This record gives sequence, structure tokens and C-alpha cells, in this order.
Amino acid sequence: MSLRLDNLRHIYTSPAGETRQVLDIPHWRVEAGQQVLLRGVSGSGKTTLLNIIAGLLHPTQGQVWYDLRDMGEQSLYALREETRDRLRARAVGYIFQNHHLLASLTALENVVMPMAFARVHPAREWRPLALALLEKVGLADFADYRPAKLSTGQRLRVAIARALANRPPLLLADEPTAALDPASGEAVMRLMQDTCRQQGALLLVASHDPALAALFDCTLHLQAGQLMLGGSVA
Amino acid sequence: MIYDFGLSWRAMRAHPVQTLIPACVVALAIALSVAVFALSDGIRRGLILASDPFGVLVIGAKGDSQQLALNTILLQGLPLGTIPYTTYETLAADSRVQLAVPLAKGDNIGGAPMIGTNASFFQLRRSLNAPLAFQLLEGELFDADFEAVLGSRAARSLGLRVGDEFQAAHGFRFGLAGDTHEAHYTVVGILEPSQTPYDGAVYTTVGSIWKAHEETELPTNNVIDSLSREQAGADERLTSVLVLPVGFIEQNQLMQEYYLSTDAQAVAPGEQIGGLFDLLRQGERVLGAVGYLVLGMAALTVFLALYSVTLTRQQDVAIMRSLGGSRVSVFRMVLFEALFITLIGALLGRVLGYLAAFLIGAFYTQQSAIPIPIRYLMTLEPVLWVLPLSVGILAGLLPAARAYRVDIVEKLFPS
Repeated sequence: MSLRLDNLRHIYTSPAGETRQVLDIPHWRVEAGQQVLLRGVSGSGKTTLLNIIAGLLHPTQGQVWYDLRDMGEQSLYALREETRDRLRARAVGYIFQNHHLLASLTALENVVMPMAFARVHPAREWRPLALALLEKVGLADFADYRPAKLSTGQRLRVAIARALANRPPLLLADEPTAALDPASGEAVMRLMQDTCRQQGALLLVASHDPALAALFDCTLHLQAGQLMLGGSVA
Repeated sequence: MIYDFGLSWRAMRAHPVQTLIPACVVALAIALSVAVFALSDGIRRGLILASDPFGVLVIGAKGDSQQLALNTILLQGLPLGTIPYTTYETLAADSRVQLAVPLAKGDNIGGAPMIGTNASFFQLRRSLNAPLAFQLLEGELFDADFEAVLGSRAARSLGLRVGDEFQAAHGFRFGLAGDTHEAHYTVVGILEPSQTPYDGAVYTTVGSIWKAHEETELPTNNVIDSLSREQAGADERLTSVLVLPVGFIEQNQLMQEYYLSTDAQAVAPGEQIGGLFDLLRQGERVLGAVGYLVLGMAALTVFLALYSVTLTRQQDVAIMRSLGGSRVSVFRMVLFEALFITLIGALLGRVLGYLAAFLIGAFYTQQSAIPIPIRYLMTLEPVLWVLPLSVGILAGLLPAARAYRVDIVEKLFPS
């Protein structure tokens, strides 16, 4: 799946009525299988961009296109919300900075949840698939643990397994290594990259961690709302 | 859909207090309704069961007709007064009367009322072709004065068997007067249970009651003793007469005659019991309204619990939505929770309601000797499902709408 943004602008309005433009991207295209690191200081709009790409935040202006048969000729935000929800469940894996696991569910149940929403796999396969994913991220022995009993690194691994649950063609990760030591961060990053390579998925990682740049072929900087490749607009 | 059920269940288990408290309030509302209707039904059937064998008319002293009927049929309260034995003799000889049964009260043994009567009492039936209402379990019927036949419950509570002897005490019930008659009674028979208050009575001849009072110098120091003395006096008087007329026309004629009489009155127990049913219906209406009120409170409790849980779970809802869960899906989950809560309440309420009705019925039966058979009320079921589940849906709508409208980005990325 490739991704395309056209004339994308996003403006935040404060409660006092003040406006601030956080994104201004005339055109950007990322091909299937590409792995891109988005860098930028805090507040530069990295998370906003990921949210817009994930279909969670309606941009002030512009279009987001997934090159998917499900979407036909329509841009992401031209779809009905129900359709966009279904598409997000099937096509997007999102690893949040705070992981956002459901506290009342076990690690295994957290991984099963997106499968239940997407209905890509038959219900009888949910548990074995979720167990296989937890094994892949090294948490097979923690399947029945609730998030509160897991370490930060373990919660991140559960979030990765959950994001990969439906073999999405687009994987988004927001500051995935922020709470990890450098060695653990690199191990987690390689896990995501290897999995995406195996599945041919597009990987977009937003991070301010300079150490990650070495792991990516393509690094873009988000400055003043614009995507910059090196010193020029991407 | 099934997965949504599962998530609702997990969410409820994560908030047991918010689940159990509203479920208990729903249960109380349902239990109240079930208990009221089951007890009313039991009392109604019990009264019919208890009054069935006793003919169509009761002839007794002038006064409160309901008191006469209740005292004669259900052995409740004090008798009105006495009527001459000749009244019974006249009725027994009347061609319009199929069966006349004399009843003389005034003594007791250990709280069990002594009833002076004759063999006609044991001819009573629940209906025309029904078997005899009072049949011997062992021994025989009394044949002479100071022979006694015990009702099944009286035999059990007094611990008497055929061949045993006892002395009766003066007064209608245990404790009214402590004087014991000198005469000794011999138990000659014990009856099978009849499902009437008369199971708690002891039967003997009318003559025994009269003779016992002739032989004893009775105290006259209070009103009740006076009444008791008059009731079982030595001057050949009766408390009441049960009458089974040969037909409806004859019944009306007798009613009319006694209406004009100055010595006695005729009452139809069916009418009096019907009056009790009217009272019962009024009570049902009042308690039914209380039940609806409690159900309304239950709805508010379910609403408050779900609303507060939804507020605290907005981030969970946002997470589900971010993973592809639809607005409809989260709306459904909150509604499922409301339905789960009311379902638990409805089931628990049934158990509590029938249990309470059974215990209250058993207690009241022990106190009054009127049977209160509690049965499962199938006809109540549709209301007992539709009402709480409707309440659950109504109470869950607003919280569900709140979950439906959760702003994903605002909840997941508050900064």
C-alpha cells in the first residue's frame, strides 16, 4: 500500500480563539514497503501528522489517499466514518507513545481486540494468532498478564503485537523508543522493521531520537509544519 | 456482536461495585413486585382452599357479618355471640337444607380450639362430587361425649395419640383463661390434613362442651370470659351453624328469612372472602405502585452507575475506536452493560421475591393456620422481563450516547 498526501494543512484553534498552523504539506507520497523516520522537536506536529494519516483527526484542509482497493477513488476523509473505522481496523497498525493498552484486558486479549474489530481472520484463529504474535515479540509467557503487571518495555511489545494483529499494510509508531534504554530501543525498532519488511508494510516512525536515524534509509524532518528532506522541502 | 458482549462483561468485572449496586437495586424492585403478587396469589388461593368445604351459608349471632364468617370459616378473631341450639334443629329439619352443621366453641387445649359438633361436620366436601374434606387418618370418629378427634396439626402440636387423655381449658385460645375443666377427654381419632385452619382444631360432641361448662365454676371477671362463658354455656347454645342449602333459590330464601330475623343472621362466606379479595387488590395496587417507584429508582441508579463508569472509561472507548471499533460498537457495548445489570437484577429479584414470599407465607400460615400456597407465576413473566430490560435500555441510552460521541484524539492525546 502506498500513501499520498495532497495540500494537507492543519490548524489548531486555542480556547481563546488563537489559531496555529501545525502542518502544511503540499504533496507527499510514500511507496509500499518504505520505512520512513519522521524527526522533529516536541510540538512540531509529528503526532498530529500520524493521527491524520491514521484517519483519527480530520485535517483542516487537504486529502489523504491510501492506494487500496477498499477505498476506490475516494480519499480517506471522504469516506463515511463507519467505513473509515473499518479501514483503520484492517489497514492501519498504530503504536501509541503511551501504548494505550486496555487495563481490564490481558496482554492476549489486547492483541485479540483489533482482530475482533477488523474481522480479517475467523474468530477461531484469533487466539492462536495473538499467541504467535506475543511469541514473536518475546512475551509468550506473559499472555495472561494485565498491563499493570508488565514493565514499560513489555507494554510496548504488547502494543507492537496489537498493531501487527491484522497484518496491516501501514504501520505507524509514535515515539516507540522514548521510554527505553538505547539497546532495548534498537531491538524494538529492528523488530518492527523486520516484521514490516516480511509483510511488505509501509512503516512510518515519528521520533525525536537521533540514534534511530542510522536505522532508516529515509529520514524526514518536520519543521514549521513542513516536511524537509535534508535542508529542502520533501 | 458476541465480542462486544465479551468486552462489556470484562468491563463490568473491572468495575464490580458499579455493577452490583445497581443490579441489587433492580433486584429489590423486582423482588418486591414478585413477593407482592406471589403472596396475593397465595393468600387468594389459600382463602379459597380454606373456605371451600364450609358450605354456602353461615348462621350466627347478629353483628359484623365479616367477623362471623372469618371466625367460623378461618377461625380468626372472636365469635360474635351465640344462637339457640333450636336454630340448628330447625335448619336440620328444613327441607331446603341439604346439610346443617352445628359449631360450639369456647374451650381450648394448649391453644388448639375445641369445637363441639356432630357427625354432619365430617360430611362436608369441597364440592358436590369431591371426596370428604375431613377424613380419618387413624382411629374413629367420636361416638359419645368426652371423646375427641384431633385435626392433623393439633395432633402434631399437642403430641397426642389415639387413646391419650387430656383436659380442656376455658377460653377460645391459649392464654385467654387458665381454668381447666375437670372433665377428661379421650382421643379416639386423628384426621388427615385438610389444608384448612380446622387442621389445628380438636373436635368433640356439642354435648361435651355443654357438660364441661356445667361441671366447672367459671370465673366472670372480664369481658372475654363472659363471652366465652356465654359461648359455651350450659344453656344449649351454639356459636354458629354451617348450612348447605339444596339450591340457589333456597339459599336466597334462607338469606331473606334471616335478614328479617332479630335473633340470628345468615352470611355467605364467599361474599365475605370476596370482600377480603377487594381489600387485597387495593393492597396490591399500593404495593405495586411502590414497586414501580423502586424500579424508577433502580433506573436512576443504573443510569448514574453507567454514566460515571462511561466518564471514567472514555479513554478506553477512545482506544477501542482508534483500533477500528466503530461508534455503533461502543454504543452497543454500553447498552449491553445496562442490559447485563438489569438482567442480573431481574434474575436475582425473582429468586429473592419468591424466597421472601415463601418465608412470609410459611410464617403467616404458622400464625393463622390459613394455608398460603406460593406458586411460580408464569403470567407475571412477560412484565418481569420487559419492564426491567426497558428500564435498562432507557438508563443506558445517555451513557451509550456519551461513549458514541467520544473524541478519540482529545482522549488519547490530551496535551
